[in-house]
Amino acid sequence: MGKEPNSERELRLPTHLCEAAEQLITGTEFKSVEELLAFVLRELTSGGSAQSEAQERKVIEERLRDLGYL
Amino acid sequence: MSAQPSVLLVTVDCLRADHASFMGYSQPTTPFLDQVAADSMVFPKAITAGAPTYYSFPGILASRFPLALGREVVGIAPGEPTLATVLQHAGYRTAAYVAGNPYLSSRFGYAQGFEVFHDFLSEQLPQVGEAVPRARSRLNQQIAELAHRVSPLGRLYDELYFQYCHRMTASKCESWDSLRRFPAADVLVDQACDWLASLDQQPFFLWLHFMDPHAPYCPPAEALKSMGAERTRPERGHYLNATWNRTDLGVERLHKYRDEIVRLYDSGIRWVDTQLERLVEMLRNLSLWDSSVLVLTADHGEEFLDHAGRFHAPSQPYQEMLHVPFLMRVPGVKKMALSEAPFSHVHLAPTVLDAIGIEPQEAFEGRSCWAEAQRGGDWEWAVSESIGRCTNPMDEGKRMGGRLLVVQDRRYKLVLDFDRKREELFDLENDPRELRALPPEAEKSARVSLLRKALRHLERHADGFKRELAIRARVHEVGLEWKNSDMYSKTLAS
Repeated sequence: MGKEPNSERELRLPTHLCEAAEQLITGTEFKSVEELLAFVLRELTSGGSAQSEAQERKVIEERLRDLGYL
Repeated sequence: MSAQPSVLLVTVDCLRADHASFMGYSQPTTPFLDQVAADSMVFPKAITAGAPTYYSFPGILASRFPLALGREVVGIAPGEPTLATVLQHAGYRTAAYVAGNPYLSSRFGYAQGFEVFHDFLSEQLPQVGEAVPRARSRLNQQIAELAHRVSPLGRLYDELYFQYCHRMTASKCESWDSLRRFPAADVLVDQACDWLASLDQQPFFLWLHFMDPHAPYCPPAEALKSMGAERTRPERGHYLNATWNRTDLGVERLHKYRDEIVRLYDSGIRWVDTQLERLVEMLRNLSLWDSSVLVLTADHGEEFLDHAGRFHAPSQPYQEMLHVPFLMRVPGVKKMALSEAPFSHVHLAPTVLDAIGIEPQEAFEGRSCWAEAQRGGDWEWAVSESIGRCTNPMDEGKRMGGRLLVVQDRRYKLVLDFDRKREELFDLENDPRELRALPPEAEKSARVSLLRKALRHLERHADGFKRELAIRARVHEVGLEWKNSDMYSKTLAS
């Protein structure tokens, strides 16, 4: 798996979906279906929830440790 | 019950448990429900899974804690099982009448499972101007800026401007109906009755969400009369609501209006009760009442300066916000005394389904307490969660704040505010109004027990299905945001 930020992978998608997506982005700032998909995937993977939850768990664990129960 | 029972789910926005007379309130807010309660399971301490509405309803309808799909997700995810989808799948006719709460709209996934979903959001209700008009003249803005440079002058300016605006708009306060922002309970019940009358022999699931006790508090004149407050005129109601909404008044000054405001709020509850009586009468006339389960609860409570706050901010997780009424009337099942331990709203949907013989969903986070309720109930503790600073879930910045986690058992209540880095433990037995948090090292074993429950709550792992729901919800959200963006408008125009 390429770890470089600019490395790329090829994906296969149904042609009719690609054509529908091309139609959808006509006149928008998305220059290609790849750009559109990258945008959607970035949105989906950029959430901060998981990180916040890990921090919140850590706070409780530390508190339990302070109280001598961990 | 012989035939498959129908289910009537009634949710009342902002109804705190201690303001329903069937829960022991001294004012006659729910005389009809008092009678129903005599033959119902009344849960003494139902606790909402989160507050306000957008953090509460996933618990009620989908048996899911509000942040279980990540704090990015608000509402019900596309394809998420709910009471409505399960019952629709079981062959029920389904309808929802939701009194104009935008957080309970199809945009947030609440229409799923309903063949009729009426949220009243597109209806034009009469709008009398706010006490403070939105636009001020440039000269007025300059005077306001100058006045606020000197503290006493600023307060004087605010007071004069408020009184001026009130006088300008008070003449339009012809009736209580002209002040109301949401359809009143009678409007919903009228439509629900029409729908019920159109049904054939199939069982139904009907959800009614009433907003009558929600601010601005503008009950119908008839409800005020029932509560002995008929002398309160619409102009006074306008003034009270506008004053109660002011951000420049201190608690001491607001206290002067508290009792009158509470009377308006109570009258809103009374109107819901009156209309429920009418609805049940209709069910009786249609010979449906004897085969209908009635479930009544609230999404959250309301604060009247109990902790120096008003309305229902997510940052105020006190019992007036989290403790809600919960009543289940199941034909043929006798009333019995239920456990006074906290009962989490996440158990509501599986318990209701179990009571009518339908298998609860595996995806539900709560469990059915139906069998144990008939022995008095073994539930012991409840968790509530929200994002304390999220007063607007459409704002991603607010949505992604720190969690406010509350864990309570029979006696103690632990509040963990991760945003403000604050931990408070209350002894609800000796301090039921939560006025004094215990010192940090006090009641160590109770504190540790609740901290462990909090940790266990955060350690729940989202299974594949929950992760899939989260993805669906976020893709849906991306689509909605894109649709609302300029970019989409350009696409449509091209």
